[in-house]
Amino acid sequence: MAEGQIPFESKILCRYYVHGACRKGDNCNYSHDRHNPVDNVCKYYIRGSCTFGDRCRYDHIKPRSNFQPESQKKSTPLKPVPQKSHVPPPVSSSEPITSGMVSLKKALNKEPSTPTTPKPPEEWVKASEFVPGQPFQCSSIPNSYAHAAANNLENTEPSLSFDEVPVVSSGQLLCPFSADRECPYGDECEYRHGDVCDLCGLAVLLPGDEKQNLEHRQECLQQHERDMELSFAIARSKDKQCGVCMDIVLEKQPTAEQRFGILSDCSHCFCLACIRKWRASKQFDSKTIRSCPECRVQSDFVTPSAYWVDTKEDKIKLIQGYKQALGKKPCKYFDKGRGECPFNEKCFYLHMNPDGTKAEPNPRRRNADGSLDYEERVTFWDFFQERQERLQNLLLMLEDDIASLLINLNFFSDSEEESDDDDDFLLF
Amino acid sequence: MANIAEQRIRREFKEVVKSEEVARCHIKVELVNDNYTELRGEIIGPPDTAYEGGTFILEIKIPDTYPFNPPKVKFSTKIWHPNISSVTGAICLDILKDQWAAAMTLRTVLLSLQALLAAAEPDDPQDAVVAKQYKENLPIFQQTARHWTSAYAGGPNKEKELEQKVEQVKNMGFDEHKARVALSSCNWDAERATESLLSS
Repeated sequence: MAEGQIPFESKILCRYYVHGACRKGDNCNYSHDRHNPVDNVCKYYIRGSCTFGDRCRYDHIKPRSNFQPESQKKSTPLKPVPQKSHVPPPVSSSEPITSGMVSLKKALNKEPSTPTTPKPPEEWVKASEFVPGQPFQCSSIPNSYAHAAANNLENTEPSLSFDEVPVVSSGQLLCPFSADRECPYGDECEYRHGDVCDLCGLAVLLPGDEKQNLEHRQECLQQHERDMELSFAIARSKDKQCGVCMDIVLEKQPTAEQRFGILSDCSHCFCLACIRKWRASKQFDSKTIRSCPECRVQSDFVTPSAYWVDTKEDKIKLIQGYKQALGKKPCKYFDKGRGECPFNEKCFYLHMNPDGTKAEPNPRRRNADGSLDYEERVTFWDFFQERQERLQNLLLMLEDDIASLLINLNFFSDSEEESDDDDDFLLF
Repeated sequence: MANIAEQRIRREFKEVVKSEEVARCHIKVELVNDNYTELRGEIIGPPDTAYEGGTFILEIKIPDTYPFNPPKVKFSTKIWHPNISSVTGAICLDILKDQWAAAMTLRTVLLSLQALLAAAEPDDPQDAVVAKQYKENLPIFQQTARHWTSAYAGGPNKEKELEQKVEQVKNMGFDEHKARVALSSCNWDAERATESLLSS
């Protein structure tokens, strides 16, 4: 990476740091600021073959394509603050063993007498290869060059100059052993033993550093809230039975089937596969299949969910999230402007032109005979019918137009029938 | 059979067996074969109706696509009801046709059928003759239904008068069931019934 350019990794939270295992410390090209978003996507998953499956500690999600570094403004220390950035990250209950083990390496690496040299630019390039899913990070490049340059001025200064590499004494560093559980060196340990955080139970609070304490507590609280939310979600989902197959949804096999299909207008519980199958069945009329199999209340669409939602707020949140997620996926009917989507502006999927601009709703095309395009024609069906006679009289004079009108009428009756299935396209 | 259908019937079977209605002997389901494709249902006639005291046997066939398609249900026991064919036992009930919903179960189907016995829909008939009688001569319909219940479903009210008429026609050398059908269809006019029997 040429000098003067800021490595874009610096906006991404180091995934090793998150697990308490970054060997590079301050010289890591990635951010050690926990406010920054972490790129925790499993690279094997992206390639389609993670052997760990559910148990993988990395996220099994498709990388977001238009990534917004939201917390950019918040991201605080441009100059590395040693005390802060070396606090072993609060270890969440799910990964206590690793942090204990790898933190040791980290501590060794941080021998105070030998300040680690900043790596020459060539090595940075190599370093970035360690990052799984690296090609996807391009999306996290700051939006404009000016922005990047501005950041660069402040950011590169400390890390590039050899003399200014902060020398960290072991007295300032938290002992990773004591932070995890127990330090075998006891009082003789040359690292600091932090106070025990009453929330996570780890000795990670630096005595006297109010700011760090506060920050840690906040992180702990947030983590706690997330954990609570998750455990509530699991608790309310675990006994839920699908009304169609009567299986306990979270006990279905294979695990991919353990998903709920949430109906927008009633609160009956189904697994996603069953409710979709029901709504796709052909032998009943659309009114029957679009209604809940239990209460017959009609719902326009089904929202997939890993957990059961029972409150209205949760459901609204879920549906919004679902629509947002779909809004990032290109619509296969619209097909980047090549095709035509029957939903037009009401489609949940993204209507993006090839040049990257968002497509305008389809203009209401008027054909030579004055008939309206499909969407409009549905809306103005009554109006259309009224006018039909007059229109026909008018058109008798123009033979060509009669033909086109007939074609259009045929078209119309076709689209009427199809419109029944319209919403179900959303299910797939 | 498709996996889901069999699995669900197994579950439902347990559910029906445990349900309150079974405990009170209102409905019952039995297996006919081992692979859960055929079942035998049983419902009792609802109280305060012409079917009271009768036990009606149903033939239930589970399609491969169950529960996304309704089970095929018909009465094995002969019954006099506007929405049930007196000849074949075929049932005209919306939930067994286009109004089926995947969350319905054997239990709900049997309970719906029981409800159908209590509340006939003569305007949407399966058996036109019965429906006509129901609409034009309700007391005779009630009597006939009671008589059928006693004759085929073990009901308590024999309707002696009707019994005698059946006996009378039967003694003329006709099959008992045919005699009963003919009499029922002709509002128990013995002459017309014999005529129709002779002409058929």
